[in-house]
Amino acid sequence: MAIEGEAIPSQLRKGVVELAVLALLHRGEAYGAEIVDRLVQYPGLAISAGTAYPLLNRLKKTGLITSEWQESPVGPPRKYYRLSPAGERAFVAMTKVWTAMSADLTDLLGKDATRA
Amino acid sequence: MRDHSEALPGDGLPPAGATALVDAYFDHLGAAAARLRIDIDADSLAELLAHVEHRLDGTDRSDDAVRRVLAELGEPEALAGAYAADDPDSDSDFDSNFDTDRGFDSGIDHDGGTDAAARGPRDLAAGGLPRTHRAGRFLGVPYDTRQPTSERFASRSWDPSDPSILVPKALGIGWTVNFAALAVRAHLIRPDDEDEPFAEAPSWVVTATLAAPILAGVAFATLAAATWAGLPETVPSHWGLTGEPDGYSSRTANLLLLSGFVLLPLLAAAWVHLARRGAWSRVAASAVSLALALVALVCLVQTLFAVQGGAGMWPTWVGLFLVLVLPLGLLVGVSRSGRAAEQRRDFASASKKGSVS
Repeated sequence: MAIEGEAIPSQLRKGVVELAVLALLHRGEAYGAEIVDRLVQYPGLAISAGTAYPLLNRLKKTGLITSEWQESPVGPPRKYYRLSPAGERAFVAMTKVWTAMSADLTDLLGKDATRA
Repeated sequence: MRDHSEALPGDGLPPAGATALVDAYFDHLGAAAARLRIDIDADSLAELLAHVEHRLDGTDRSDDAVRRVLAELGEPEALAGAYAADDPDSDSDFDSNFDTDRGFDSGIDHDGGTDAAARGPRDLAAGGLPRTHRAGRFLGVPYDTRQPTSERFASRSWDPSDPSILVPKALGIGWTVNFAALAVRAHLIRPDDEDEPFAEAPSWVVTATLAAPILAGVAFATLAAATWAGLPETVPSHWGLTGEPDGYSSRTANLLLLSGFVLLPLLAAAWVHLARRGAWSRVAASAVSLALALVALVCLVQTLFAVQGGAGMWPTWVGLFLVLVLPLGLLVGVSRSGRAAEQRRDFASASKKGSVS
């Protein structure tokens, strides 16, 4: 299921997965492997580590997220990611866009969506 | 001025005033595309022109009407940018500038551009400079003939966020090894261990990496000096799949070639260090130069082995293993040092925060 998800045209997935990661971090900070593991619970949004880390890298470069090493109670320290203020604003804006888009697209797909 | 109406499938020509405005818009678009180093192919331009025509149908074709229709297409720069973002050949590695404001919709919001771009660039139709295909793929094999930069070498030989082990070479044809992907697979590092590779590593560590290729070069020179006099005039220099030598060359040519293989990368790496390039570039330059010096060393050892009467190619196989493992060890070591520095920084600021609250 997760592998099927990866095969969806990347252009469509790219923006959606980005929003998914921002949404996840909006709920609270998380480290890399944790982000991958939590998204696996949503087969439609699941991404591989190979997708997640470049995305985190890009979000960090653009200032939407920040990272910080923290001691871990078990095992080695972990690098935690959280939304920056700019990231919070981007999350709100993107959520609005997504809500409008998904309502319109569901309408546009109409019966096709249920038949497929 | 070129006559865009030739590309127009329809028949109605706009009147002179409208033509001038449309022409100006398309010239502007062509110039913007040239600045972005893309071609918008003839079909796409014809499609755009047909769109303008269609919209103008039934209007009075006044300047105002034309301006309204052109405004619908957006600024020429923005339109060219949308074609560029859809261009499969556009170079977006390493220094890709990601637009924060358009982060979400940039993947989706290029109406009409995708099909045109997928047909591939044609002859220049947009009035820009001819596209120079300095880098891309031919029959699926990547090539890059652009002037090499230390940054491109660095981002190809060590990019932890890229899971591909084989990546396009920074210069030349074919693939090269992304050592960081190997290190991630081997669980030696995690892809996000460092925010930017080697950036936080102490500067003496970064500088010290240059000692590795120098040591390899010294080992090569010592071995060559100690054995050269005793070599026959011609030495085996190529081996068949069976491990039997099948090519010979003069010992002088052989030595010169191998010395060049040691020296040139070493000089390039030294220059990258002396020019005070970024830590990423400097460490990667040391590692690449180490790898190439080791290749030369392995060739020399294999030749000596064969001259001494040794059979087979096991020095080469052992050597190639070292060619991968030693630079990998160097890179992983510096990466660990950078990670440790990041952790010290973050733990220190965390305990400071803790003592305040």
